[in-house]
Amino acid sequence: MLKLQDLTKAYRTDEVETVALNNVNIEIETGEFVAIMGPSGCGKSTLLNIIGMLDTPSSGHYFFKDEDVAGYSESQLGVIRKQHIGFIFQSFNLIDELTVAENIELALLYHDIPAAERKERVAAVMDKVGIAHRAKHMPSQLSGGQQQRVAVARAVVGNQSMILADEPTGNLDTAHGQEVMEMLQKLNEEGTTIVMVTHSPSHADYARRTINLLDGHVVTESMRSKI
Amino acid sequence: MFANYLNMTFRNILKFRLYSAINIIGLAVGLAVSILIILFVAHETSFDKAVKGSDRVYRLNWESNSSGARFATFFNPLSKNIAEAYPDDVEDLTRITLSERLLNIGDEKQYQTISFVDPNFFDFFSYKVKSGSAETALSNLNNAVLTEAAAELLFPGEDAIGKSFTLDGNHDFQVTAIVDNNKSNSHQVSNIFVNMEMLPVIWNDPTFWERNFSDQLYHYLRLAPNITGDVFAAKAYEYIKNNIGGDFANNIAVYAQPLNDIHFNTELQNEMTVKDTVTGLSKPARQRSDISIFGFVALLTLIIATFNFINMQIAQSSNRIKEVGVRKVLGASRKQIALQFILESTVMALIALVSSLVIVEIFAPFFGSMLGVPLTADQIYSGGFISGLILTTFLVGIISGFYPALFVSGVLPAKAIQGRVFDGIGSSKLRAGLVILQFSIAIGLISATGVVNRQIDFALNKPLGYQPEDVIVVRLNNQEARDAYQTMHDQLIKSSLVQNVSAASIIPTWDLSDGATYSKEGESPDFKLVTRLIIVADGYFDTLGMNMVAGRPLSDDFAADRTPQFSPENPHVSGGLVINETAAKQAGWTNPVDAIGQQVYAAFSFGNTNYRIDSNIVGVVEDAHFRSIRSAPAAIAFGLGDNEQVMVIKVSEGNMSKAVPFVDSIWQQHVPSYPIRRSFLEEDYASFYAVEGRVFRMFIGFAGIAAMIACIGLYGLASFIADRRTKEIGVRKVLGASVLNIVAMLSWELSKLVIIANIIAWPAAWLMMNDWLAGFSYRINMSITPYLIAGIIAFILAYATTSLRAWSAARINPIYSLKSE
Ligand SMILES: Nc1ncnc2c1ncn2[C@@H]1O[C@H](COP(=O)(O)OP(=O)(O)OP(=O)(O)O)[C@@H](O)[C@H]1O
Ligand SMILES: [Mg+2]
Repeated sequence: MLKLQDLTKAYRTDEVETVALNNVNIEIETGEFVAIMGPSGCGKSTLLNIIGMLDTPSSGHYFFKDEDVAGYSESQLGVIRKQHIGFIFQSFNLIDELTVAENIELALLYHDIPAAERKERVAAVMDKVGIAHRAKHMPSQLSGGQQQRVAVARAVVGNQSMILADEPTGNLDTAHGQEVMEMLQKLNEEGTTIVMVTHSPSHADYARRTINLLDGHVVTESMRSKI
Repeated sequence: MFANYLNMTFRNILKFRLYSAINIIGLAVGLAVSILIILFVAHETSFDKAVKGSDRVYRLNWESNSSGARFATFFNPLSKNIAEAYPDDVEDLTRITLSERLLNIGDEKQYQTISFVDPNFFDFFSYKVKSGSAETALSNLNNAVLTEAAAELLFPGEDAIGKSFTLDGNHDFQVTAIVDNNKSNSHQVSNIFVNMEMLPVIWNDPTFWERNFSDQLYHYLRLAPNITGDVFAAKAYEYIKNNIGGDFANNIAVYAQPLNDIHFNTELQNEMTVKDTVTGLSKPARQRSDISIFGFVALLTLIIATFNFINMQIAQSSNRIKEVGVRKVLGASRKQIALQFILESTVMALIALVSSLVIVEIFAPFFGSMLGVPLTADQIYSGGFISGLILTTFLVGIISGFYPALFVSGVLPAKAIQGRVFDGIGSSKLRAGLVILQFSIAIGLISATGVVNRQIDFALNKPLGYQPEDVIVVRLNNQEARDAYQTMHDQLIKSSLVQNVSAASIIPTWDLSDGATYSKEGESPDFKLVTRLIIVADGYFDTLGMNMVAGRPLSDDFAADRTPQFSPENPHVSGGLVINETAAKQAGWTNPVDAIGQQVYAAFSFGNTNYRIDSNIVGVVEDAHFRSIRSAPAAIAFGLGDNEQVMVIKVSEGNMSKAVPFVDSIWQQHVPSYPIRRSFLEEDYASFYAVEGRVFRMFIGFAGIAAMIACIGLYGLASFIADRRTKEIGVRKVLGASVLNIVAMLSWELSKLVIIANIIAWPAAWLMMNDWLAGFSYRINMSITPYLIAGIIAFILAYATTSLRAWSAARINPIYSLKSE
């Protein structure tokens, strides 16, 4: 699905240069479920953002479906991103002014899909994540777990083939965290590639492979034996 | 897609209710104020433009070389001769004069202003004929034409065509045509028209058309397209020089006054009355500088409201970054995000436009009545005005959406999601520029308002040089009344209700129409005493409360004071003279006492006779403002004689209600054939100045509103700056800064911008106000005070808003503000 080659990301602020990712080489196959772990500040989010094309690398290559997108402009990336990639954030990032259904629909809005079909697909995905009865509610009226379920629904409603999740359970209690993980697992089983940043070893266990980062380097990659 | 944008737009407007309301109201009020002012300015600048070929229409003026006075009138018979002499240059000529006559319909008597016109007057001034035929209407000398308003006034509820009225008790006229009313933006105020050829009959003046030097008529010319007014005026003067010549030609200059100048010329003598006595509408001439200052305020208000709106939208955009990030993550392109912002501000601007139109609908009539101008909101919807407005609104919407669109939409989604972009929104230079501009306009407006306010106060409270209180004015508008003056005087003065009675050719509030040029035996030719001349009766100065600064008033107690009427049989006359301070100064008598006892004379020839009037100056009287406070008082000479056009009665204090019926009864007794024509000097004076005062109070109100709108924008900007720094404030607090430290720091930053704004605004406002003040002969000395006050207000505002915002930001527990990352 994607391949990072000698990928480096450095942030320059005024005088200091922070190297967030240093010569990273990673390959992810279609249909994989990969967890990324590591201490705070090691570059996990940076990595995920670059994979998700929300940010661009400073140097190196990024092959997405065999296409090197490293040098692409923001708008070029945007086109690929909206076709293939869905996002889930720790802080949900729902738009407060829109209802649950509208928040989910937003992901289809930029896709030239007729209104009737949009409504259908939104309804279907809401059923799937069990949030249909909350369709007309505002995000502020939902619990954290419910909000994250909306975010998951939003990430998949466009039939994205890959979901990137940055600490999706970070703001949730154990039970709700579990729920979200099961949802991701189900999506993975249906064929969606999932890359997830997490601090929780037990949640990392849902993944087939775990990549450990330290100071911008990949230190270990471990495969889960049982599958 | 679009529906979603709109949906989102309304959600956002509702979500930030208070903010949106402030922003929309600010723009709506700003737009409304500008629209109202523009309506007024448009009304004033459109004066007489509806006349066919208005830019080729001129009114002939003449100027007296000796006194420098210029007259709106021109010599009665000469315009026709001149027009005939230059047939290629003059397309059309028409003349008018207005005269108040006694009008009877059956037994009902009333004074009405009758206009004597050439039959082509209606065509010349593009009147619409409502019934009858205006072209032929005046062909018969006993026909009359009425405006609709006059028809309704004289013959209410009837068809006026065919009805008759009588002038001065013995001239019958029949109404043969009705024309539409004078437009409110036409300088014409006539409603009852009869043929000009009736003038010699009604004025009982058979030689009227034979006297080249009399100037009772207004003469309008429509020139051919290829000649300018100045060139034609030179030709007209050439004609006079070649065909009349002599002293007359040497002493005059000829002007062709553009039709469109009439409403803006406040300096002419013999100007046509501006009051339409039938409709009650008054159309005072305006100073161009007044109109331009109004236009300027309209423009500033529009600019300030726009900037305000833009500033607020920018400030608000910082609250939208996360939303933008999410949308981008979900695939929104930069263009789509930009569109959303532009749509939102355009929708808000349109809401503001609609609200402003509602405000204008409500306030236009009120505003118009305050200004004495009939304004209706209808004018907005005509022609390019509304399209201009809509276009402006769209522009405002697009521009104010553009800045957030440009910056917020360009933010990298990864950063937007992380909230790392707060500092990056737009360049701080641009923001500083906006703050400076907004403050500059506010400071300029506030200081200009201060100057206008002080000047108007000064002008309206300036001593007039006479006392209009408790003075009844009675017009001696017929021979019977003039003959009865002395009898009425003697009877009135005996009453305890009356303090003083006098009469004169002219009183304050009237036009100073007659002039005299005096020489002095044995003086150098430089000696100049050119004055306006007023013939008064005994007691004039006392009755009007005009104080002598040297010598004594003219009085019948001194037999030599009275100047007899000169005539071919009696060409040398002499008498006493009182001059005013301005006249004394002009003659070089810097100390008024120096004027007393001086002998001067006026010499002129008329026909074949040389006349000479010798005058002995017996007193110098304080300057009085006969006309506008704006113009310098004219040099005036007062002679004691018989030309009683008006009687003035000073009533003893508190007795006005009893005195009025008493005066009426005396009139009735001695002038039974004519109803009394009476007014109060105080009211005449007030109607003269009140409008002017009101116009400027209005101006002050508007400038105040504009300044207030500016403050809203300042608050928005201050909030924005404080919000941006929430985190920094948190850090500083953690490091030990007190809330006060933080407030001081933020305020100082804004204050620096305010200082720059002052540096820009002061000189600009100073120059403008200097220009405006130049239109007043008596003006305040420009002081720094209004500018200082404006500057201080701006500082207070800057401090208040930043403090308020900084205070709340600084009081937040740093844990929360730091978490906002
Ligand atoms: N926009 C940025 N500008 C400057 N430095 C940045 C930026 N984003 C990240 N960094 C720096 O890059 C490094 C990696 O950051 P990143 O957010 O990827 O860490 P992380 O592994 O996700 O940490 P956490 O587990 O706390 O989320 C850090 O040192 C961070 O300070
Ligand atoms: Mg992270």
